[in-house]
Amino acid sequence: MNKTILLIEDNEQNRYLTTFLLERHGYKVISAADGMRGLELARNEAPAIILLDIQLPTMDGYAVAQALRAFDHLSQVPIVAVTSYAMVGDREKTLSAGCNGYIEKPINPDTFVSEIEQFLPDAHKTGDVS
Amino acid sequence: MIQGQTKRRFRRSRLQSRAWRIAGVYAIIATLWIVFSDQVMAFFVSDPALLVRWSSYKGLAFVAFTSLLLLLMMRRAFGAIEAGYATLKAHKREIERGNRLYSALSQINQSIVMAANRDELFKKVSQSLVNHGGFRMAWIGWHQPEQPTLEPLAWYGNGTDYIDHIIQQTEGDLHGHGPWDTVITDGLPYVCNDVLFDPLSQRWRHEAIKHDLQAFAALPLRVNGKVCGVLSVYASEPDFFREREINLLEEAALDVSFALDSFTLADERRVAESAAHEESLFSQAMIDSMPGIVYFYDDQGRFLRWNKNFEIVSGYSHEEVAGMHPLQFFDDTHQPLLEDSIARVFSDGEASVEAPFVSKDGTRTPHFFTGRSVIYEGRTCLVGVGIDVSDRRKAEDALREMNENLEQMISERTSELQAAVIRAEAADRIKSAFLATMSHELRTPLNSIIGFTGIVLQELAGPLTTEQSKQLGMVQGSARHLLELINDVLDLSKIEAGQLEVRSEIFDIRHSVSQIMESLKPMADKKQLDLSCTIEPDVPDRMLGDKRRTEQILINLLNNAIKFTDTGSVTLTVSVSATPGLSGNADNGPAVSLSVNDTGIGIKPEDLSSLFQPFRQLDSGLTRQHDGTGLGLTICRRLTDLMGGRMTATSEWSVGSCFTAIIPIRSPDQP
Repeated sequence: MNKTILLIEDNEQNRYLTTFLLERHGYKVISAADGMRGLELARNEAPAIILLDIQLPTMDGYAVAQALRAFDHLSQVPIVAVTSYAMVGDREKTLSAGCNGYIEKPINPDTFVSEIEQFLPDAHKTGDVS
Repeated sequence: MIQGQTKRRFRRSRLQSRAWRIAGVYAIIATLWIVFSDQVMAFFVSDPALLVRWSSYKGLAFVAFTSLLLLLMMRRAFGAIEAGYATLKAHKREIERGNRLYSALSQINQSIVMAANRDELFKKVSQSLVNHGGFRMAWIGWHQPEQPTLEPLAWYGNGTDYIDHIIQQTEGDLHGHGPWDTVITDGLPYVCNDVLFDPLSQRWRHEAIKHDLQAFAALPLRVNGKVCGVLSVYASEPDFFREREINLLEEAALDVSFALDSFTLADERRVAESAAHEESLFSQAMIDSMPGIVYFYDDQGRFLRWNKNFEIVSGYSHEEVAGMHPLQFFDDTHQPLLEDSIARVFSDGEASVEAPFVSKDGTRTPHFFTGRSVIYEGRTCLVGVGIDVSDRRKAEDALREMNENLEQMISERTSELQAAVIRAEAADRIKSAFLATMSHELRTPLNSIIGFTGIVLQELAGPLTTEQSKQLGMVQGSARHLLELINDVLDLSKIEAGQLEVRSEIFDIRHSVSQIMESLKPMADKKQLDLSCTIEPDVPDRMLGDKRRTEQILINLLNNAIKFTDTGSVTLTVSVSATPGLSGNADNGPAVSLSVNDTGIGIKPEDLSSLFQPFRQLDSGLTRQHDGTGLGLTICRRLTDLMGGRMTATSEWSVGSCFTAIIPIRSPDQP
């Protein structure tokens, strides 16, 4: 069972927070601080789900999502945008770039894991949170 | 002439030859008697003595015979002479009478020429007939066609009392009276040669005799062929009126009638002339009183008429204008324009032009000229009117200046406005960029705060003491409040910037409500409030609308109600309603009504109006007590408006409030 989650997030604290939370729920988290690195990891590690920040240096989240969708073996992997962008059209933009979901920052640590698990096939779910 | 003399000589010689013949016959008979009588006597008487005696007897007999013959002849001759003389005398009288009548007629004709009017003519006619025509009396009565009266207009001579008598007797009513009625009715002369035997004037016979009026004639006078008067003449002898007299009088009456016609014509002409004169005076007065200048000139530019104002405005005298050409009243630059306009009047019938009218002293006054062609005495002429338009021109200039100023002002304002718009747009972009950045920048640290607090509180990082949990819980609460604030500010700014879009998606309102009730229940429980909800059965399960915004409104309203209610209950009622129109008509399609009732502190009536304004948490004293951004109701109101709905609030101070949001819904099956 693949419990690998790819986290592409440039802010170190947020990366740490998400990683901590997910690892405590039994997931393996591999993280990247920028888009290029994220793409590389995604191609090599074949994660079960990709969590993608939108505001990233050099290559923004939209471009990363589009690039990820270009890989044949990644075309079915769910991508969830986790972003602090809250302006009009942000949600639509991420969805049209290829993301499956959109979670607004700040995340709610009480519900975050279950929100993500909605995008995973049933087999991946831990079923037990705490 | 020669023939006449010959005739006279011949006539004289005939009478003479008759005398000669008588004398010759006598001489022959006497000679024969002297020669042969003695021989005859001697044949019968031979006695000489006796013969001498008989001879004496013979001589005496001859004398007696010849004397008798002479007497007879003389008597005859003298008788003839006497008869001839008498005839001559009568003839002479007749001629004199005729002459008098002719003289009267001639006088009448003279009067016709001389008389100025009808009454004067009648007077002179009467006088002429008496003085020159030898009549005893003459009078003329006038008859008005509509009335049966005969009014004496002129009378002259002896016995005029007779007329008074007749008028008195008939009281002026001629109808059926006397010979005059006959004359008027028949239109023919009436002649009476002896009043003693006239049946018509029988009533006044004695009066007539008294005034020695023995015979009379009445003749009709006509105006335009209609009998209008009667001329009556009286003679002091019977049988005065013979054919010749009557003919002459008829002639006189005809002449007078002719004169009356002329008078009528003259009267009519005078009336017409007077009317024409009046008309001319009126026209002149009108032309003169016209405010503008009026002129009239022929196709050669010769002025025929103009009004007084023309002279006043131009400064030229009447004589000067008469000798001027119309173009002389314009300056060189305008002359071609005027020439063209005048030509157009003569070719097209009318034209108008605006040009300055140059007066004698050089003053230029702007005028508007209108010309029209008219035919006058067989020639095409131009009648024109010029109106002083200086006031209008001044007003136009002022208006133009004002317009220019206005245009300038408008263009200045427009550019100011454009600049302001550009600035505002720039400010708006800056604001949007600021909000986006702020939102992002604030969320990133908040993510850490909320995230880590949550993790720590979940004791994922290790167990906590009670005090630690309580304090971290406070951090979490503050962080969440901060997040609410950020979200509200962002929402409001999105709404105000028109950036917020209303979605249309299918959702289950019952599911949304139960979720929201579930999430708010802990909050209500904490305050020991009874939180309940009623969903009417006719509310559809699936509806088409903006799920997120509808939920946001519901959460906001319920949150507020719970926040401001200390005891009692908060009740949500969901029902089907009609979309309220702008005018309050409720027939704009179906809508869902979300109504939240509470038993809270309520709102004072004077505060209701400012309820939906941003950053208004009523009663500043409460701000401390109740958490909140003060933006919730404003956002709800704006969101409802955005969705085409309506938000209302009713409240009673310290009893409770009711907030109702009516949001239009569509059945998902509908197109």
